[in-house]
Amino acid sequence: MKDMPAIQTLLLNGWLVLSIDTHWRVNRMSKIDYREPFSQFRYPMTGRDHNPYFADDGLVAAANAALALGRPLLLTGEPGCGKTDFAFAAASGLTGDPSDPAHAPLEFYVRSDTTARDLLYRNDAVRRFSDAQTGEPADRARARLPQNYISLEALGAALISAQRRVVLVDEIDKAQRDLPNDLLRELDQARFEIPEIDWNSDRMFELAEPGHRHLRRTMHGPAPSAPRPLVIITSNVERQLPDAFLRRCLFYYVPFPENERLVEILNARFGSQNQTQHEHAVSLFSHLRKNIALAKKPATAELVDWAQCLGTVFESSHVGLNLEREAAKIDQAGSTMDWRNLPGLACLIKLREDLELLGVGPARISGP
Amino acid sequence: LKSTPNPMRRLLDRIRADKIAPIGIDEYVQVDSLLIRCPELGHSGQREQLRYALASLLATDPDQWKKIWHLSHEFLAGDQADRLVTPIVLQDNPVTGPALRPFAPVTSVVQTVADLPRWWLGTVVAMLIALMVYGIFVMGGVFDAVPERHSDPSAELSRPENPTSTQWRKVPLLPDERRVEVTVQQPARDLDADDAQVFLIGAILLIIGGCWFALPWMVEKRRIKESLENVERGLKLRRDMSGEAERNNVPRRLTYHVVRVPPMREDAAADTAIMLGRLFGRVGGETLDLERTIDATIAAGGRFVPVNNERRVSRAITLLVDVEGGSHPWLNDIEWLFDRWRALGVQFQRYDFHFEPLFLIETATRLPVQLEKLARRVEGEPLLIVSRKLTSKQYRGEASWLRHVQAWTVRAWLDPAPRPPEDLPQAYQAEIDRLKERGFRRFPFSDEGLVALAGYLVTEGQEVAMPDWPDLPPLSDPKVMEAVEKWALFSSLVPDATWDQLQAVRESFPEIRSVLKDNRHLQRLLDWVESQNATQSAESADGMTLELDPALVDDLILRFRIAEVGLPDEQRLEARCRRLLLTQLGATEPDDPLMREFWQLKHMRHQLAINPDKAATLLGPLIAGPWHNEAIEAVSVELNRDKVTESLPRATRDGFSLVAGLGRNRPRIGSLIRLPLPLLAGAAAAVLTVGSIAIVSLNHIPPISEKFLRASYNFEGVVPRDHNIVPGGPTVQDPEIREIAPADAETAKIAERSRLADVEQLRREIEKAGHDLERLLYLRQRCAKDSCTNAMQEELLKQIVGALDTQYKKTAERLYDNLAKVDTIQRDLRLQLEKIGRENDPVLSERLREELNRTRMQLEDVQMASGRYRAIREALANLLLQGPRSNELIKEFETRFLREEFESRAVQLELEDLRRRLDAGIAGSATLWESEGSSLKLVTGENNKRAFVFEVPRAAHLAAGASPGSYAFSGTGRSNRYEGQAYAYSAGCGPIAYDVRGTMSPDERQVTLTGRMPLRDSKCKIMSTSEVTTKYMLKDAKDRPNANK
Repeated sequence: MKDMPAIQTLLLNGWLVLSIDTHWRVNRMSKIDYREPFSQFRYPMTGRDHNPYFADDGLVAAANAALALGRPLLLTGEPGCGKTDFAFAAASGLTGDPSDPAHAPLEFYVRSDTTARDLLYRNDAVRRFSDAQTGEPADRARARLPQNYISLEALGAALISAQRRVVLVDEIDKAQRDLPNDLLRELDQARFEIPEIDWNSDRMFELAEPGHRHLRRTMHGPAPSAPRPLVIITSNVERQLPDAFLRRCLFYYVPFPENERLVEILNARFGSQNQTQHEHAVSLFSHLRKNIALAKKPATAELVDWAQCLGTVFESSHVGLNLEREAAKIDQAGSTMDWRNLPGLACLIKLREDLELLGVGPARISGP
Repeated sequence: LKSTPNPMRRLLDRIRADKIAPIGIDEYVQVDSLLIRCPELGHSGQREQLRYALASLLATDPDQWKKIWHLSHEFLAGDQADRLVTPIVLQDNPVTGPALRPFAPVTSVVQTVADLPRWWLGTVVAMLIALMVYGIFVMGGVFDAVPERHSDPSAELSRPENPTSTQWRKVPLLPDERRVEVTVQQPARDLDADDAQVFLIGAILLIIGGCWFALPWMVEKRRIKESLENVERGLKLRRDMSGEAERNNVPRRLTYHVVRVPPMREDAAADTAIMLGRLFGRVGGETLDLERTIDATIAAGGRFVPVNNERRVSRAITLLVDVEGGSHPWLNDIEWLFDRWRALGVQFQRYDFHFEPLFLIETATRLPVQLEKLARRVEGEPLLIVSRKLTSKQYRGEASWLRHVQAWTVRAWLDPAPRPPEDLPQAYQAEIDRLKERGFRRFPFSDEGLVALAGYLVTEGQEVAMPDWPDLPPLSDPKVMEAVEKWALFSSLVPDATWDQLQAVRESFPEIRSVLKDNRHLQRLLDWVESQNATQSAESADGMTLELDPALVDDLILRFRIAEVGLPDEQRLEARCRRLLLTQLGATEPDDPLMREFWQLKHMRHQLAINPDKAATLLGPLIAGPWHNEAIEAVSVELNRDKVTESLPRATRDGFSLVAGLGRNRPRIGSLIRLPLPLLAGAAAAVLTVGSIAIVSLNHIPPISEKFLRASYNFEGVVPRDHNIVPGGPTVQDPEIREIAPADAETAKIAERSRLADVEQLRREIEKAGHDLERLLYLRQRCAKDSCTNAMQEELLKQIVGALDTQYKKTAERLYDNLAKVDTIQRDLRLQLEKIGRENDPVLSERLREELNRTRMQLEDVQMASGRYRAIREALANLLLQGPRSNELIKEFETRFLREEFESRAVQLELEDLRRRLDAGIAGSATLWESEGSSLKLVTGENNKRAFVFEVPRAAHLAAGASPGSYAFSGTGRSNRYEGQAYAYSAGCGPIAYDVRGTMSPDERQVTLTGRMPLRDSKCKIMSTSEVTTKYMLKDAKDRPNANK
C-alpha cells in the first residue's frame, strides 16, 4: 500500500483525482502507520479502592488525547474532585483488569524537596560509600558498580517499560519551581540519563546484581514505537507552573461533580436502595457548598464519609426523616435550616469557625 | 491571518489572533499529529471528543479551556458539523508569509475539496461518470447511425422505370466472370443533432488530450518559473534581513550550546598558577632604610644619600599569543588556561599577534603596540610566547623581532601543537634549535610541560628538567583510525564545526573518547583530514573551523550509511551525531529573523537524515525564504546520497525530488485541475476553429460532404449460374430466361448473389452445428425454406442421424446398466428363494419382498427407456427413409430394440414367476378370504405379520394389474387391531400402497380396513385421496387367523 501509486489508492478510496499531489503523499501516506483509535479506555473504570469511577467525557477525551500524543496530562481542580483517583481509574480502564498489580499506576507523591531526579531514579550513595569503606569483600565488590545502588522510580520505570503504564505524579505544585522544567527533556524524549553510571561500567557488568542489570547510563524504552506512558500530573495550583511545562502538557480542570453524579457515586458505593436518602444528602451537601461561605468546603471524600456514617452509625428511619425534613427546607423561601439536627455533621464540617457560621457549637454536633 | 477553508486551521488562527492561548508552530503540529494519529476524530460523530481534546491540548488554565471550548463550537459545530475535519498539512512561514511552493496551490485545492461534505464529492463523481457514460453512448450512436446492411439489397435498388422488351440469349461464363463485386453508395446526408453531439464530445476529448500532451512542457515551465521566483524572493528577503541584522549587530553565527572540555587537569593549571604567583621583584619602597642610608651617606662623604627600603612586588608575565589568521585549533585551550590563571591571581599582560610578533595588539585595550616600543618598557618581566609556528627567519636574514626580545631576560616558548618531535619536519626541528640558541626554551602544552614552564619562569631561566613531549596515538593503529573516522563523520555533518564542538562530540561518544582521550588528540583528526583533503587545508582560513572537502564529506556519510544499513536508529552513528547537534542547537529559536530561519534550516538539514517526514514539514516554510537556495541544496545532496543507500520512503523521495527540481515533470491528473488558462484557451480555440472549418466544409463543399457524409458498402460473391443472359440473341423458350428477362439483368444477378450468400451462410452453420439435435432440426426447417442444395440436405440428414445415434448410444448404455442390475438382483433372489425353501424364514421373506419391489422399479425404468427408444427409432425411420443407407440402418436399430424388449419382457416374466413361487413358499399358514369378489389368502408370519394376498383376483382387479400372489394388504395384526398398507392397482400406473387400519370382528370372520386411497390422474400423479373401507370375509370358518397364537 505504501508504494502503491497514489492514483490507485485514491480510486480505491473513491477520492479519484483529488489527492495526487506528492505533498499529500509525503504528509499523509507516510504517517499512516501511526494511526490508532482515539478511545483507549474500557469501562467501567474503577478508582483507588476498586469502587466505580465516573469520569467526565472531557476528562476521558483529554486522557485519550494525551495517550495519542504521548504527552502528560495535567489535572487541576478542587481538592476531593477525583484528580488523583483518576490515575487509578485510567490504569484500570487501559488494562481492563483493576486487580492486576502489574498494571496498577506507578505513584509518586511530590514533596517540597523533590527534584526531577527523584521522579526518575534513586541512588543510595551513602550505602555504596559504606559498603566500599567498611563492608565485607562481597560488599566492596558490589560497591564497584553504581548500578547496584540505583533503583528506578515511578517515571523512570514507566519510561522504559515495554507496556503502557500509568504514572501518577501527585501535587507537583508542592515542589520547587525548577522541577517541572527539569522534566521537560525526559518527557519530550522519553529517555533519561543516569550520570552516576559510568560509560565504561559495562565492562564490570558481571558485578551487577539481579534487578539492576538493565540499568544503563542512558535509559530509554525498548523501541521508539513502544507506547509512551500516560503521565498524570495533579496540581492544586498552589504555585504557578512554568509556561514551557504547561505548553507541553494537556490541561484539564476537573470540575466538581454535579448533584446527579454525586448521587451516582453514592449509589455505586452504598447501593441504590437508599437512593432517596442519597438524594437528600447530596442536596444538603450542595447547599452547604454553594450557598454558605464556609472556610473549608466539604469535598466528595467528606460526602462519602458522611453517607457511610449515616448508613452505619445512625438509625435509618431517624436519618431518613431528618434528611428529608432538612432537604425540603432548601427550596422553601423563608425557612431556616437547623443544622443541629443534621446527623453526622462532623463528617462535613471540620473547622470551628464554619460550625459557628452554621450556628452549631462544637458540643452540640450530633455525630458518631 | 490567512483564512483557509480548513475549520481547524481557522480555529487555531482565531485563537492565536485573539490571544486566547499561546499558539505556536508546535501547537499546530500537535493538532495535526492528533488528527493524523486518530483520524476518526475528524468525523462529525466525534466532534465533542475533538473539542474536549483540543481545549485540553491548547489551554493552560481553566479560563482558556472554557474559551477554546466555546470557540471551537463555532468552528467545528453548527454548519460545519457534517464536514470532515482534516489535518493542517502545510504551515506558512510567519516571516515570509505564504510561500510559493511548487505544489502549494494543488494542496490548497485538494484541501478545499477534501473539506467539502462527502455528498458533494459523491455528486460530482457521479456526474463525471454519467458524462463519460453519455459520451460512450453518443459515440455508440455514431456507429449506429451507419445504415445497416439490408437483408435484400436489391429491394433498395431502384428498378428501371421503363423495362424494355429485349431478346435474350444465354452466354456461358468463364470462372473469373462468375466472381462479381458490387459497391452500393448512399446519397450524401445533411449534418444533424447527432453530429453536433459527436463534435462536442470530440472537441472536449481533443482539448483534454491536447492539454494532456502539452502538460509536461507547461508543468516544467511553470515549475522553473516558480523556482526562479522563489530564488529571487529568497535573495531579496535575505538582503533585507541581513541589513537589519547588521544594524542590530546580530552575530552571524549560530550559537551552539557546547560544554567546553578542559584541556588538562584543573589541579595542573592550579599548580602552575601557584608557581607563577611567586614571581616577585623588588622595587624601592617609601620608607628609609636607615642603615643603608647611613652607609651611603658616609660613602658619599657626608652628602645625604637616602636609600629606601626595598619591597617585594609581583611581576606580570608578558604574554605574546599567536592568534594566526584569527584562531586555531588550540587557541580555546590556551584561553581556558589563561582564564584559570587569571582567576587564580596570576598577573600577565597579554598581547596578540599574527604569525610574527612584531606588531602586537594589547588584548585589554585592543590598541596596537610595536614590540620594539614594548621592549623599552621591560622591567625584568619574563616573556612567554605562545605559538605553534614560531620562526626565526624573515624574508631576508634573521627575523627582527628576535633583536627586540633580548630586552626580556627570561624567555620561554609554549607550543600548543601536540605533534611529537618525530612527526615534525627537519626544517622545523632546525628552527626549534635556532630559537633555543636565542634563549627560547620550548615547552609542550601538557600538565608536565606547564609545570616545567612555570618552574623555568620562576627560577628566572635556570635549567629545569624538560618533560617528555606527550605522545599521540599513531594513525596507523586501526582503532585510532576507526575513532578518527567516526570523529570525522561528525565533522562532515556540520559544515562549520568549531573546535569546541569537536571536543564536545569526542567527549560525548564513548567509542571515540575511549581511544582519543585528550583534547590534544584533535591533532590526529587534523592529520587525517589533511591527508584526505585533496585541495584544501584542514583548517579554515580564519582558523575557527575544520574544513573537509565536499567529496570527503559525501564519502564519509555514505560509507557510514552503507555500513549501518539495518541498524536501529539509536545505534546509527550519524543519527546519534545529528541528535547531539540538534541538542547543541537548542530548542529556542534565535530572536533575529534571519538567524531564526538559519536555525530552522539547520534543523531541517539534520532531520533529513533522522526523520524525513519531519524534515518535509520543516522544509515548507523554508521555501522562498532567505535560505531557499541552501535548503534546496541540502535536499538535493540528501537525494544524491539516497541514490546509493535508498533509505528514503518512495513517496518522500518523490516529494523531495519535486522540491529540488530533480523529479521528472511527468503530468499528473492533479495538474489538470490547475490547467494553465492560456493552454486551455489555446486548445479550445484551435479545436473550435478546426471544428468550424470542418462543419462549413461538410455542409458546403460537395466533394467533402460526399466523401465523409455518404456511406458505401461493398459486396462480393459468385454468380450462381454458369451462363449469362445477354440481349440480342435468338429468342429462346426457356422459362428461366423469361423469369429473368423482365427484370434488370444486374438486379437479378445481385438477388441471386444474395441468395447464394445466404445458402453459403446456412452451409457454414450446418457444419458448425455438430450433433446439436435441436439446432439441426431448426436448420432443416430453414433449409427447406431457403431451398438448400441436395448435397446440403443430405449432409444435414447425415448429421441428424449422427445426433440421434449418439443419443441412442447414451440411452442404450443406461439400459444395459439397468438390465445388468436386474440380472444381479434376479440372481440374488433366486439364491434367497432357495434358502427360504429350505428354512421358511419370514424375515428373509420380507426382505425378499423389498428386493422384489426394487426390481420392479428398475424394470419400470427399463420400460421408460424402451419408450424413448421407440420414439427415436420412429424419428430415425422417418429420416432414413429419405436418405441413403436407410435400409441398413433401420435393420440395425430394429435388431437392437427387439433384443432389448425381449430381454426386458423375459426378465419381467421371470420375476413374476419368482414372486409367485416366493409367495407360495412363505405362505405356509394361510386361510381363504373373500373381498369384493376376489378370493384372497390371509398369510400370517412372525411378529404378528399379516398379509392378504390375491388367490384368484376378480376380472376388474386382473385388469388393473393384480395377479395371483399380488398383495391386497400387508401389515400387522395384534389382538383384533389390524394396521398396515393396502394396495390399489392401476393398469397404467401400477400398484400404490396406502396406510390402512381396522379391526377384526369378535367372531373373527370379518376384517374391516379403512384408509385414504390415493387417486391418480392419467400421468400417474396423485391428485387427491379418498377414504375407502374394504371388508374381508372369511370363507372357511374353521381356520381362524389367530388360531396359532
